[in-house]
Amino acid sequence: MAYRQAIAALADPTRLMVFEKLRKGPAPVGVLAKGLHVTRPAVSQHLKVLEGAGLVRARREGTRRIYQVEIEGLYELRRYLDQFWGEALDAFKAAAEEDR
Amino acid sequence: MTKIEDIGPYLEPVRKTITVRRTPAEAFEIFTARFGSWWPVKKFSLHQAGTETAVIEPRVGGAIYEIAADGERAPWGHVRVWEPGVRFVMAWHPGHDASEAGSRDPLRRRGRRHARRARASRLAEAGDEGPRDARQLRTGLGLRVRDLLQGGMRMNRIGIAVVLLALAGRAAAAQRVLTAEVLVPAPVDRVWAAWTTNEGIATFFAPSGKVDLRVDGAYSVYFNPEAKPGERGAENMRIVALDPMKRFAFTWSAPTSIPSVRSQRTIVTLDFAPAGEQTRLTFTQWGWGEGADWDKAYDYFDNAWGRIVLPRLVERFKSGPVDWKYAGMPTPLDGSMKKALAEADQR
Repeated sequence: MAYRQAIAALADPTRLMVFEKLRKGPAPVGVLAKGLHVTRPAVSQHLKVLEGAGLVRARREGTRRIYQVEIEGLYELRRYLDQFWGEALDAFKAAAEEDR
Repeated sequence: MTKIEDIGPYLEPVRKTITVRRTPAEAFEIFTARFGSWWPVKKFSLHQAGTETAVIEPRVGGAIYEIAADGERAPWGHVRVWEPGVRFVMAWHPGHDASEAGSRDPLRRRGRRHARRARASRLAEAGDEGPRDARQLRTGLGLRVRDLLQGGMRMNRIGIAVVLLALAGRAAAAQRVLTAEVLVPAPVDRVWAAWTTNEGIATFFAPSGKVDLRVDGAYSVYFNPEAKPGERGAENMRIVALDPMKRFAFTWSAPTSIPSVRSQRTIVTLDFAPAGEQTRLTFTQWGWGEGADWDKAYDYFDNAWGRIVLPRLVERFKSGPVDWKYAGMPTPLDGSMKKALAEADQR
């Protein structure tokens, strides 16, 4: 059910933006907050949610926390979406080819 | 230890392709009008076991929702593009109304605009509404005709989720249409000039061109200006539609390597639409014949427009005209159509 948390976490536009910024590579809060119209503490909060959803992880580097995309969480989400649409489309094909 | 380079494959869109033994028109009808009869509503729905059916309202902006046993409705998404038998795009926001995001939601404004316009938004649009605008994670599901009826679904510009469907009908060849859409980072007048003037052609299309800008006027694009007449590229094509800043169409010939098709013509239609300071260009090539040579020509053009010409058009406005001294004959850029779209979306 990890994907549910991931989807819910990404449903927030600001969080989605924070997450998207991490696609470019690991970064500290300060860098992630740049260009977003929210405060650094708010970005930290968003990161916490993303971390809780398994999409992001943090490591310490001296006094700073460096955030990066958590590949496991991303994999879970992708696998779910892949399966979801796979099943839906299989059902479509089966129905479409019935009674021909 | 996870290396950040490893995430690439997981950020790729999810793509699905299926082939259905139905004509595109039938497949479209079943997918939409009979949505509730095939969608696994007990499994993929908000009320799950309590869900009776699901509905797609047949129009742009139409709601997509489930109906529970007690008659209660719950939203899933809405229709973004409605082209019966050709293409279907939906935004996916289960549990939320399209209107929930309030008047600032660009999707709603787009929906209305689209309702007014006969021509709906294109697949790429799913990517150009930035996440800052999305109230919740949205996805779009689309179908569009290529040689098969094909479509796409993508989840926002984050690009986590894309589903591609291909629905092949036996009648597909006759209806074959090559389509592409690209967001060009320049206003319509400049993009228009790039296609319709000698000078414009030389900045992205081919080293030189010659345009007699009127309906029935000649349109020549010389990929090999130094070659002998008849082998220089697309020579003396005809302009068949000319609606300044809106629509430009011309006949087109296949490369010399496919002589049987080169003796025939297809038609290229370009539709220009402003998208803020940018231009949404919809490319369509149609009038394909049947048989192996036509298949070859189709594949050739799928690559030539999607991977070379249209990316070059975008690139031309991003970093300047093509330097033909180095570019020579069209050769594939690193980028694919998808990359060009993705980059345009980032802007």
